[in-house]
Amino acid sequence: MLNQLHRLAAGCAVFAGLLLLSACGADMAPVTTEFKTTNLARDWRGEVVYQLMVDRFADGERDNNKGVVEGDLGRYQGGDWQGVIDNVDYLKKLGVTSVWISPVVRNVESDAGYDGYHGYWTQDFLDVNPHFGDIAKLREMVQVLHANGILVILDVVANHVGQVFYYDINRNGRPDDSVQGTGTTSPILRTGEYDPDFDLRGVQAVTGLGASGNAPVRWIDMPELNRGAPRPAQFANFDWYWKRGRVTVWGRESDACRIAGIDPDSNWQDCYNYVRTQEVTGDFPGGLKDLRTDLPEVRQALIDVMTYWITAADIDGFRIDTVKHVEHDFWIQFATAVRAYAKQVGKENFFMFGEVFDGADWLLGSYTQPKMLDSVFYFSQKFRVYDSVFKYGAPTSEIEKLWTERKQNYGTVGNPDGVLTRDGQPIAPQQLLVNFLDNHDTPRFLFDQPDVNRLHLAVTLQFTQDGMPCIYYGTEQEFSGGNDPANREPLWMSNFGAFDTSNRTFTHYAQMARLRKALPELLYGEQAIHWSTERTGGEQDAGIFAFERRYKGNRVMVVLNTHPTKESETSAESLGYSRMTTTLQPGTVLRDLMPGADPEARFEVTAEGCETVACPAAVPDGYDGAACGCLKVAVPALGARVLVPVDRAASLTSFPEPR
Amino acid sequence: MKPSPFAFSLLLLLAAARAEAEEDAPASQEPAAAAVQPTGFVFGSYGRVTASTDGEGGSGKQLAVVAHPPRLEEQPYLELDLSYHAAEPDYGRFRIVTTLAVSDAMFHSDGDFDGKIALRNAFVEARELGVEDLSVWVGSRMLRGDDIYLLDFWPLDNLNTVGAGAAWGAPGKTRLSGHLGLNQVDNSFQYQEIQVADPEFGTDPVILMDRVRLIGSLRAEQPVEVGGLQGKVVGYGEVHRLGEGVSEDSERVRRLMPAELGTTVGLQAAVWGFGERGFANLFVRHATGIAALGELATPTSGLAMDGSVTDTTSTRIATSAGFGAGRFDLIAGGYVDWFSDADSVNYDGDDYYEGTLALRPSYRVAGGYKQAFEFSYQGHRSNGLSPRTDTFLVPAMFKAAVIPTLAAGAGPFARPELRLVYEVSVLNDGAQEQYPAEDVRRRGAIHHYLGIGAEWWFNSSTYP
Repeated sequence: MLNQLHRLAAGCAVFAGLLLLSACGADMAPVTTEFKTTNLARDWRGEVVYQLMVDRFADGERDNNKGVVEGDLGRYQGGDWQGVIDNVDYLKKLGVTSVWISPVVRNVESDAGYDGYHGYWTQDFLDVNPHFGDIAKLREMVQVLHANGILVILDVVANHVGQVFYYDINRNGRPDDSVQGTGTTSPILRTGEYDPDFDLRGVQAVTGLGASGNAPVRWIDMPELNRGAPRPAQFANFDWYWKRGRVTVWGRESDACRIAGIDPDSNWQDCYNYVRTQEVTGDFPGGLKDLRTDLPEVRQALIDVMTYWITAADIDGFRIDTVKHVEHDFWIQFATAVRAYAKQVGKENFFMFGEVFDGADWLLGSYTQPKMLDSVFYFSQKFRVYDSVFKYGAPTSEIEKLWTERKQNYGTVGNPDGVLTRDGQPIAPQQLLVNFLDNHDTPRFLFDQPDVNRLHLAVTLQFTQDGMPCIYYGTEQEFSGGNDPANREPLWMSNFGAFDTSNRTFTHYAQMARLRKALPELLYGEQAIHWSTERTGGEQDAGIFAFERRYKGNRVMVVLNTHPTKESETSAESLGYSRMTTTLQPGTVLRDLMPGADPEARFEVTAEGCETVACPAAVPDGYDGAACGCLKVAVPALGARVLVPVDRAASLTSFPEPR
Repeated sequence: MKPSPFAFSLLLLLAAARAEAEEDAPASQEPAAAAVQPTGFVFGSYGRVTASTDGEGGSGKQLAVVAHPPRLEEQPYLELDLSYHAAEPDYGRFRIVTTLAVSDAMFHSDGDFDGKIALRNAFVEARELGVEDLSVWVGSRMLRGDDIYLLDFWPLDNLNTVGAGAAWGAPGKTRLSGHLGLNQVDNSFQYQEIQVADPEFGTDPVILMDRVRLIGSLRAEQPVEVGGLQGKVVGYGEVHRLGEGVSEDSERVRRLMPAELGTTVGLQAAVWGFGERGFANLFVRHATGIAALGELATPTSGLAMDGSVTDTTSTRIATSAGFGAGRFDLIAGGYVDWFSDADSVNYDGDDYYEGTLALRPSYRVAGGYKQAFEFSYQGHRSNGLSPRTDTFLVPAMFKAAVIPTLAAGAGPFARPELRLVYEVSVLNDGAQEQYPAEDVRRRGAIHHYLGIGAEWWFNSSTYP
C-alpha cells in the first residue's frame, strides 16, 4: 500500500519534470537481479581447471580493498571478482576452460593477525564476501566467464564455520588467549579458549579447583571483525556443533592415541578409529568450529545454503573443502540432494569434487563410491608421483603402482544423475580424478625443486593422463612459494611482469592445453601403461614412463623420461629384456606432436624387439591382450614425446604445427 | 518587511534585512548593497534552534535518502557575524568580517558543555580603490551564489575557501568576479604526518603527504529583462588542481597518489517580478574529476585503480521558485543529480542519480501568524546492490508537514520565525532497508516528527 502511495506520488504531475529527468538515467540498466541458471553441460574430462584464489588473482576494484596490507600474504591483497572479469583473456590464452574460485561467502574478517582472504572462515553462508564484490558483481563475473566458454566451480565448506565462538574454559565469561595450565603440567595442552585441544568428552572447563564439566561456549562478540554468531540464524545454535576442540592427531597419531588411553601397537584399529573420530568431530585447526554433520537438520541446512549458490551465482560445480572431516554418509545425502537440485533448476552435469587431504589412496577413493562425489583431488598422485617421481627422482614404477591401485580404490560406476559423457553415459570417478601438482595448501612445485624442466615434464603428464588437469594460479608464472601463506602470492607480482603470457612456463601450459584440446584421445581415451621402470641410474630405460590413450580406434603414445640427465629409451634390450609393446600395428609410422619436437622426425612401430601377435585391424580401445607391435623411442632427459600416427597427425586441423 | 526576489537564498538574508530600510522598494530589484554600507561595528547572525520528538518517546530524526533533503528536520546551527566597516575617503572603504559558526546539539539539550565551532569568514574586503565598482578581498571566505532555501542547498556555486578574490560591477549591473584559493583537507589524501626515528631518542614528525588543492573560480552575472520581467543570467566555472603525493597506510605501505584536475561549469537563469513576490531559478551544473566531489571532500571510494578520481562526473539540474498572491505564498525547490565515480565498475553504489522536490505553501492568517505546509518527495537510485540486502533498492520517501508559524513580517522569508512542525514521513521498503535491522529508523514505513523551532537572520555578511 505504501509503495503504491509512493508510486502515486512519483506519478504526480508536480514531479513529472524531475522524474522525466530521472528516467534519462534509466538506460544505465543494472545487471539483473533475477536468478537465472545457464546449462553449459560439458564432458568434464575435457576441462582444464584453473584454481583461482580470488584475493590473489587480480585487483579490479579499489573500493573493496579495505584492510589490504600489500605484501603481507596473511592479509587481504586486493584481488576481487572485477579483477577476474578484467583478465579473462589471460585465462583463455592459458587454455583454461574452467575456474575454481575461492569461497564467495562472508567470512570472519581477521583472527590473530591473519585475514579470511581465502574464504574458508564462513560467518554467513548466504552473504557474499564484500572484499570480492557484491552479488551483482559475482553474477557479472560468472556471466562474463560463461560468455567466454569458461565454467565456474565454487569452493564450499560444509565441515566447519569460522572462529565464531569460544570455550569459556575458566568460566570467566570472556575469551582468554591463555587460561591456567601450561600444557605440560595439566590436561590442557592448548591454553587458549579460542582453539583448545580435542577432548572426546567435549572441551572441559577447568578452574583452580579442577575440572568442572563441559566448558560453556559463547559467541564471540567482535562485530568490527565480523566475528560473531554465524548466519543464517539457524546456524547460531550451539547444539549444531561438536564442541570437542581442535584436531591434534596429525603427525603424532600414536602419541595422541596413547594420551587417549589407546595403545596403538596392540590396538591399531581402535587407534585408527580414534584418529578418525578426531578428524570428523574435532574443530579444524585455527579454531574453525566443527558442525555436527551427523544431525539431519544440520545436513539439510547445509544442503540449502550450498544449493542457494547454484542459482544465485549460476555456478557449474562445487569444489568441496575438508571432505574427510565429515561423515561418509553425509556425502551420499549431500551429493544426491545437490544433483537433484541442479537438475531441477536446469543444470546438467553439475560437477562435485572433494578435497581429501590425505596420501591414503583408498581413503580418497572411498568418497567416490556410488552416490557420493564425482571426483576428488588426486592427492595420492600428488605425493607419490609428482613429488616423489618428478621432483625427487623415484622410479616410474611408482606411477604404475598407484594407477593400478586406482582401479580398486575409486568408483567405477558413475552416477546416472551426475556428470555424463557427451553420449549421456555416466562418467566413472576413476576416469575423472583431478590431477594437480600443487595448490594453496602445499608448497609450490618449484619451492623445493627449482628445476623448471622437471615442472614442465610434470605438466606434460598432467595434461596427457586421464582425468582433469588443475593448474594452481601462479605456477604458470613460476611462483615458488613454500607453505601457506608463502604459496599464495599475488599473481600480479610475477617476476615476468603482471599477467605475462610469454614466459616459458606459461607457454608450455598453453601449448599443452592446445595439444590436449586437439586430441580427443587425451581427453576421453582409455589409458593403458606400456612402460614403467624401477631403474633410475644409467640403465637404458632409466626414468622412462609410457602409456597409451585410446579413443575410437585412435592411439596416442605418451613417453616421458623423468631422468634428469640421461637420454633413455623405451627398451631394456641391453639388460636382456624387450622393447616397449604397443597396440599399434607394425609398420605404423608415428610423429611427435610434443611442442618443440622436430616435425620431420618419424618413429616406426616394428614387429621385432618384443613378443607380438597378429592383432585385428581395428584393435578395441579396451584391448588387454598381447602386443601388436613394438616401439623403441629415445627421449632426452626430462623430455617427452606425444606420438601419433602420421595420418592421424595430418588430420588434425585445430592443432598448429609444433615448432 | 518585504521579501527580496531571491530571498530563498541566504544571499537575500542580507537583502531582507536591508529591505527593512527600504520598505517601499520594488520587490523585483536586487538591493543596492553598497549604498547602505555602514561604518563601525555591525553584528549579524543566522541561526536555527529546534527541539523535536518522534512522538514515540524518541528524538526527532532527520530521515533522508539524498544528499540534500528538505531542511525542516535540520539540527541546530548558528552563525555569529561580527564585522567592522571603515571608510577612508582617500583610501577606500574596508570591511573586516569574521563569522563564527557553531554546529552541535545545545548544551541545554545534551548536557555536554561543548560545541563544534568553526571560524568560517575571516576576511578583509576593500572597495572604492580608484576603480569604480572594483573590490578585492583576502582571507577565509564563504563564496556563495543563490541557494534553494527549502533544501538548504547551493546547487551552482558554493565555495569555502582561503585565498583572495576580486569583483567588478555594481548590484543590478554586469558583475564579474573571480578568486584563487587554497585548501589542505586534514586527511591522508592531502596531508599526512608520520613519525620517523629521531637520531637520538624517540621520534620526529615528518610531513610525508603534502599537497594543496588550488581552486580557481570565475563568475559572470548579467542582468536581463525579458518580456517586462527582470532577471539575470549567471555563468560560473571552477578549476581544482592537486599535485601528486605519497601517502602511507596503517601498515606503513606507501602509495603514490596521482595528480588531480577537475572542473566545474554551470549556468543559472533567474527571473523575477511576476505576480506578487514571484521568482524562478534554473541551475545547470556539470563537474568532473576532483571538482565533482566538492572543495572540502576527499574521496574514500570510487577511485580508479591508480587512485585517481579523474573520471568522476556530476551533472545537476536544480530549480527554485516562488509565487505570492495576497496572503498566499508558495515556494518550491528541487534538484536531480547524476553522479558517476572514477572506477571502472558501473554497477556499484557510487554510480547513482537522486532527486528531491519540495513545496511549501503558506497562508498569512493575521499579522505575523501564518499557516504553512510542506510536501516533499525524494528518491535515490544507485546502480549497485544494497550490501545489506543484496538487492537493488530505490529508497524514496514522501513527507508532509503542517507548520504553524509566527514570523516578523509577511512573505515566506520574513525572519525571525517561530514555528511548530508536525511532519509525517512515509518510507518505501528501500528507504527502510537502508538502515540496519537494529536501527529504530527501521521500525516501519511511517515516521513522525514533532518539533518546535526558531530561525533568524539579520545583517549577514556572507554576501557582497
